Amino acid sequence: MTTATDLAAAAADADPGTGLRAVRALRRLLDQVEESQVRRARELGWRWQAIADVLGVSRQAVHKKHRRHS
Amino acid sequence: MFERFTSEARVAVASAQRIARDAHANEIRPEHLLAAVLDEGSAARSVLHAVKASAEDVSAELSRQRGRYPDGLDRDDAEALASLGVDLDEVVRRLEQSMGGLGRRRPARSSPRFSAAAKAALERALQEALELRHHRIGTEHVMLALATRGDRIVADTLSAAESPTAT
Repeated sequence: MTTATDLAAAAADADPGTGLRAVRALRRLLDQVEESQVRRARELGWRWQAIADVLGVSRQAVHKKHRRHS
Repeated sequence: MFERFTSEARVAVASAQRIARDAHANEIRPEHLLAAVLDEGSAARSVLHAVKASAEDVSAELSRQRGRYPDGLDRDDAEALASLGVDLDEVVRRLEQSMGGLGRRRPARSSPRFSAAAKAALERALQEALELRHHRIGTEHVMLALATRGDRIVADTLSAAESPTAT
């Protein structure tokens, strides 16, 4: 039975559906981690420019995206 | 599509929207529909009693399942991420340690829309009613539809509530 289970798991990993689902999961996770980290940085007094520098985006971009959350 | 819904089912659908909004969810998913029919649906609860499950137990299990992962992620996502070597449970544990979790403070959208899975479940509810030759779609049909077309959180919740010994 273990072999059958292993084979099934290996087949599932080769399935593009699993890979695409992982992409979707990472994207959703990323959105929420970014929101929480930016909020935390703001609460700790970080300036928008400093946050933008670390994220590697413009100050305008980070401000526009996160202003309402913090 | 809501013109054939019973008033109880309409209240439940509105309640699902409110539950999703209160949870700051990105969209209204089957888990929110299940929470709503458990709260609002006497017809849905009687379906549960018929299979000897109590609405309270299902509600408690649903809360547990919903709280396990960040919004919009479930055990299917955890398994997909595991294929990349990412342990979602560990990620959640560390985020809780470092920042007290991921809860959104504001809604992702002012009025979340129905997810594809939630729409499919509502369409399935119509089919359930048609197959039973019922003229109106009630919360019992939504409940039956969720049992067959719910998402992973709904499926895990219902199977755990069905056999409380086998978590």
